Amino acid sequence: MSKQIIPCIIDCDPGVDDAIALLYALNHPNLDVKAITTVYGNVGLDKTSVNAQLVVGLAQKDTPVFSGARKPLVNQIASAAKVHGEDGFGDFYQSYKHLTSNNDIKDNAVLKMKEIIENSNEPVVLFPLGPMTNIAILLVTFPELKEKIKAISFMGGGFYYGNRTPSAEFNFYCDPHAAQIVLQSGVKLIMSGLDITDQAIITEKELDKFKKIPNKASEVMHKILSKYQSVDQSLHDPVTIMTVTDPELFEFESFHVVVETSGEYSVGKTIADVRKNAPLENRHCVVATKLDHNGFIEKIVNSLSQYKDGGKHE
Amino acid sequence: MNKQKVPVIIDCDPGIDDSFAIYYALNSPMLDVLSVVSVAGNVPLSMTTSNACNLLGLVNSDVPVFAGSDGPLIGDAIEAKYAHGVNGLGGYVFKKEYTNNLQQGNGIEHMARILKSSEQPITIFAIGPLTNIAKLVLAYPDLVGKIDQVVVMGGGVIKGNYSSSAEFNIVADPLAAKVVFDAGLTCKIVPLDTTEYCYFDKEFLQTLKQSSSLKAKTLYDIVNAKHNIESKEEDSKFYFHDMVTVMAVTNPQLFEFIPLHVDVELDGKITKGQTVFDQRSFNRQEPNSLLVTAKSRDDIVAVALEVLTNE
Repeated sequence: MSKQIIPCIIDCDPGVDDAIALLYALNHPNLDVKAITTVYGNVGLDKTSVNAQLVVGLAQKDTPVFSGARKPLVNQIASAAKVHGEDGFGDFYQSYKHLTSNNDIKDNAVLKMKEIIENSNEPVVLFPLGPMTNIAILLVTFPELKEKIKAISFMGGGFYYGNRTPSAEFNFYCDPHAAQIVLQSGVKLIMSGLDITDQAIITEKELDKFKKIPNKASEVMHKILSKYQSVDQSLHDPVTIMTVTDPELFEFESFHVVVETSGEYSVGKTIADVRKNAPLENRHCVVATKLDHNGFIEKIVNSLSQYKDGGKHE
Repeated sequence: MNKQKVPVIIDCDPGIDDSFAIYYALNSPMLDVLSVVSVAGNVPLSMTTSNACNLLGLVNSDVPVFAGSDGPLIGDAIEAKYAHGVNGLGGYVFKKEYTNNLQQGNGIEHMARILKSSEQPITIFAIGPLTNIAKLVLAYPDLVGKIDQVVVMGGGVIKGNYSSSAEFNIVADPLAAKVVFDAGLTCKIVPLDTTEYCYFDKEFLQTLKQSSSLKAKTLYDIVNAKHNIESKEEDSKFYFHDMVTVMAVTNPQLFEFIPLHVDVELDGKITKGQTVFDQRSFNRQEPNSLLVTAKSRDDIVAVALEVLTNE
């Protein structure tokens, strides 16, 4: 693992698995999370924004939250409330909202990302965990920033199947045009699709470990994951953070990847060139293909164990 | 800024008819041209930008030019050299390269600065592909309210030109067009049907040539470089789509504005980039645009001549 501290922005739609990813990133010694930016996705923008603010509160950090796109570039809005609860927080937002960060949610995520990237001495890593609308707007409007983006490590797509539809993963399905803009941007891409994130399942037994960690963050995660787990066992979004922070847990392979932006049955489908004779020079996307599952769970549990209650939680 | 005048930004891809639009706007006593922003369209961005600079520099205009997008939001740029010649101006070459108007920086950010600092809402003439305007409304949603109107040359009710179904500016970036049409703006759309109805003829061009106006003469030279005007049949028609679009703002009494819902076909194999206006007699969708039609071609040609030859 690189000892270097990486400045990054997490663009997300919390979202239960987003919440775990945020907690993992916020106290990771190698990440400097400059901001959390929010996007519509699992639920609407107002909810994903307050959920992000709640997770910052749980982590007892001062990380600012900026809200971004309210809808896809052109498509109709979709939601995943069936998986994440009507409030996007496993229907537990009301129970824990007193823990919310005191910082206000500000608007214009895209301009904030621009400012952070411009002002950063080191190139910045972007972690899109939801539909990639904000990231696409950033890249098309300010293409001059691309050279200061170290990588975009995203959760989205899936080579062999979908979850929103038989062919499409939810984030790609929500805004396939935005996904395609990012995929064609020329920026270094690290992909965590369903093929890898569905290796990041958490069993009931593993989830029980959260219960034994004596802090508020773990208690809340246990609560909301217990419900999420009845529908989706995969901790998709933390994988996306860990491809950068903990690459030793993964195997990677490079492919050319695009997304179908139309098609009655195939809209949002990931098209990866997995042919053996696919030209090497076109393989622009580094794809996480294999995960050390036990190592993954161990890292998550260790990370949650680092949180100490006190201060704002008292 | 003169309070009587309409403050405008011209977002364009010069382009022969863009040249007419730019000189018309500069000459019109109704308009205060704050800036020109270029976009890849008829020809690549480097050419549309230098063409804009040359057009303005030649007539000693101090309107700043910013470069905008070098291609559509998704995919590769298409071009219309068949209509505008290899350099976008029919092969017309300026006696020198004028670069004084060219400003450094991001054209979209520049438009945002103008909107932010203006007390009056701004009119944007979008007479190229809508890429820059789409980026503006996506990245700066708070500034949408500072846009008085976007006046678009684009699309067709029944006509196409790039393909049998699609007009060039829309098919060059259909996604951007859809973003702009759905942005909640006042969007006036001047389609091919209107701009081709308002055709111009040889006599009009010959009058430009004989005028004492440098702008009018230059416009003649540009068209002549492409078409060799004197060799054309007497009843030849010339289309200056983008100038007609500007006139919809300066002379609204010569046009009708019909509230309609417009959508853009993003994907069709034959219909990609087609504008679909909802004109059903029932179940119509809520209007998101004003379709601009012309009342009288003769009046429009007369006004155009008067303004262009007005030094």
